[in-house]
Amino acid sequence: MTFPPDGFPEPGPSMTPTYVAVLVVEAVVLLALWGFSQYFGA
Amino acid sequence: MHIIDWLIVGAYLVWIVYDGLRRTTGASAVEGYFLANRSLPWWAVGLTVMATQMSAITLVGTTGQGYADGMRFVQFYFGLPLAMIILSLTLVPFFYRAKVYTAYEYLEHRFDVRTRTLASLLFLLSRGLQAGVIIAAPAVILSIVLGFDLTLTIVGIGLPTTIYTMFGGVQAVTWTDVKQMVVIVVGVSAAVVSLVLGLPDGVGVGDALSVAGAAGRLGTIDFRFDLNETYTFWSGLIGGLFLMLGYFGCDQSQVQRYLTAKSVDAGRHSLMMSAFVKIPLQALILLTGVLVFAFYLFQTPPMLFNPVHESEVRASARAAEYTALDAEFQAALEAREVAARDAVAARSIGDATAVASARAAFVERQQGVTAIREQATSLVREVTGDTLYTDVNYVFPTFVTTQLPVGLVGLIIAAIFAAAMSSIAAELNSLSTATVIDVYRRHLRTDATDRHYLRVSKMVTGFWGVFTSIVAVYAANLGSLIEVVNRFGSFFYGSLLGVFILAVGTRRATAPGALWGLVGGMAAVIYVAATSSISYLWLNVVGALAVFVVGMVVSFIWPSTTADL
Repeated sequence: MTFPPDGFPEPGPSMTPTYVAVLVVEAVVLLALWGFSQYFGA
Repeated sequence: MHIIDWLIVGAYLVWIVYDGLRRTTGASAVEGYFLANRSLPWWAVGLTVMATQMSAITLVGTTGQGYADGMRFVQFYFGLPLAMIILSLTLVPFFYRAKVYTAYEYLEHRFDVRTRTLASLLFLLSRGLQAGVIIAAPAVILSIVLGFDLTLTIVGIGLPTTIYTMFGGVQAVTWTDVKQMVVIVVGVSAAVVSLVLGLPDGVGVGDALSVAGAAGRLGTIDFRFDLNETYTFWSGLIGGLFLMLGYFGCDQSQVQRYLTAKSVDAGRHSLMMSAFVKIPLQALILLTGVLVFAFYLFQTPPMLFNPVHESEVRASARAAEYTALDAEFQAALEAREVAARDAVAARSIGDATAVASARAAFVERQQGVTAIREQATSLVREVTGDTLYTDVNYVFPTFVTTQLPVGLVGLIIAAIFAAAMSSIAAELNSLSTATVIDVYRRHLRTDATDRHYLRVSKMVTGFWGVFTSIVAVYAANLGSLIEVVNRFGSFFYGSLLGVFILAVGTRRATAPGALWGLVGGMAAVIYVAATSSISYLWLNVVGALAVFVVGMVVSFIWPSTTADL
């Protein structure tokens, strides 16, 4: 059996901007949540 | 509940079953029945991925968490976006390229049939039982809040779901999930709007949130590194990452969703939808619970939100004790409302000293209310013998049925049904797939026609529907122990994830290594869970690492007899 079956898949360069966007959005959302709780004095 | 609300819930159930049954034309062969011929658009798959994850107990439990504990539960999801990216880069393309029906089928490609079968049986065992709990938990709550027979409620959730899943296959699951996700989001949004409009004159949303913040309900991020604390930034980011990798990468109920996408990129995009939306959506649901808390600062809430347990105490020898507590509670509520209004008034003036003083007074009153609720909870536990009793899951349904207008009640109860049914449908569909593809077609009947396998697949789906409903009837009698059982499934994810890490992460892992690694990982999780008090999120890390270490050691000692490279 090959490792992994049929070899490694082709990298998907078209998805890279989406992955970066996910990370940026998560960072912004976490910052917003943190700021939200700070603003309302949690 | 008003007759109009019952009609809305009934119409929703009929509509969903009808819509699901319309999809039977796509289920004329096994690949169509289980994978929709790998033809679905990314956005539909993305919505079914989210609908599958959001069970009814997630919906009512999360709002209850927001009410009782605030928003810190949102940290549970911090690892999800990272997990989605990692899976998109690793397992998703491997699954597509191997053209598998189940995640476990891939393990036979990479290792051997024993590893595949063991992993599939672990899934069937844990998910088969958990699916029963997913029906039972909301059924118990809805039957109590609506005053409806428990068994009929279980049948009301389980039967329609089984019918459309059995006949329509994954097409029915996906397209009903899409609509159910819309119903859920509309229902939650309507609740938020109602809560905002329900605040008293002179109290704005900012005021309500400010008071809720003073009561500790808006703490979202806890940077302490404490293994025993369930929800922290680190447990969510690291433990949650492993949990989500295991859930979305190794649990057939999720893997099967994105295997229906029409291409690798469509599958990846469907996961990206959750990566973008899940944390904000969960924050919104938690915020709904926080707004319910703010709402009840100015309206009278019940001391306990579970009327059945309350009735039991009132009928017991300690009824007088409970009545005295209730009187104290009413007085404490009145004092808290005055303090909350004072805090709002101080905020509108803008004097920092007055605001701090008013907030401190409010916090003191809030602590008084909390202390009485805790005494009442202890009393319930002592009288009923249910030592795990908590009424958190009853908060939102009680609010909905007692405070919202006719029509909206039906819509939100339908949303709770939608959350339950969308998860159960995916469970039944994936349980059937693993049973037929990994067990029946692989071991019991290897040479039958596609028509035969399709007939068996429908029968097996029906079997799992009946089985999980029967489990639900028994699980409903577990009381608060349901919560424990609900977490039980997550004990398996770390170990299953470890096997997949061995599969795609290293060339040196062999079939014996994977098999014994899986056994070793399960043993490690059971040992750590039994002998320590670390948060269950960290058990996913323990399981994955243990499988990897044991698997690699065994692989070096015991190389595979077949060529692995």
